[in-house]
Amino acid sequence: MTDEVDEAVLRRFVDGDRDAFEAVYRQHHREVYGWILRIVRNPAAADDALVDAFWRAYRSRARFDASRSFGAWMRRIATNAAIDQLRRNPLPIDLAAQPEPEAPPQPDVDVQRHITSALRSLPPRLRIVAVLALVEERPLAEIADALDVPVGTVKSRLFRATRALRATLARLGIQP
Amino acid sequence: MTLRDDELQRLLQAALSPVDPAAQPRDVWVELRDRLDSRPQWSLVDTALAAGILIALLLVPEALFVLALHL
Repeated sequence: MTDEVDEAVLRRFVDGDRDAFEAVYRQHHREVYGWILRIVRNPAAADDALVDAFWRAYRSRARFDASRSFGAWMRRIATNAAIDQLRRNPLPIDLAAQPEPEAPPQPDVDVQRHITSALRSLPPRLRIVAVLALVEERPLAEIADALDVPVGTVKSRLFRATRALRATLARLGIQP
Repeated sequence: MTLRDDELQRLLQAALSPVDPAAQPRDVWVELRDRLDSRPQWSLVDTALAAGILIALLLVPEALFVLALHL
C-alpha cells in the first residue's frame, strides 16, 4: 500500500484528530477495500468490513507508530476485519459467471458449487490463506505480513487448507 | 487419487468470480463517522451485572472489600 500521507498527518491521526483521520481514510480506503474484497469476494461484505477496519484503526490509533508504514499496519487490521466478516457471514462468495437460466444445466456448475462449498467449509484462517495464495496468487510473504504471522505458518495453513479441500472434493467425487 | 496442486488451483480459480481489487469502493466515511460518534450501548447483561453487584452489596456490605480487591 502507498504511504503518501505524510508523517505529520499520521501523528495528528494518532492524537485523535478527525480531519487527519479523514485524510488517512481518503488516502487509503481504495487499497484497503481492494484487499478486503480479495478476501471476502463480495462487494457488500467488503463495504461492511471496510467500515469495521477503519473503525478499529481509529480505536487502536494509540498503538500505531507514525514513523512506520501505515499501509502495512492498516492491512493487518483490514485482514482481521475481513476474517471476522467471514466468520459472521460465511456465505458471501459469488460463483463464477453462470450460464443463462434458460440454457441447459452444465455439469461445471455443480462442480463450481461443490468447490465453493468446500472452500466455505474451511475455518476462516485456512480459507483466507487458500484464497489469497491459490486464487489471488499473492506471495506467501505478503500473506504472512497481512496476517502478522511467520511465512512458515502460512505454508502450514496452506498445506492444511489444500489437504482439507482435496479430501472434501474427493468425497464429492471431484478427482482428475 | 487426489487433486494435484495446480489442478486444485485451477478449479478454485474457475469456480470463484474474479474480483477487481481496483474497484471504486462506496464512500463509507459518513457511516464510519457515525459509528465513531455512537455511544456504547448499555446491554442487558451489563444491567443484570450491575444490579447483581448492587443487591450483593446491600445484602452483604462486607463484600465491598472483596469487590475492591478485584478492581
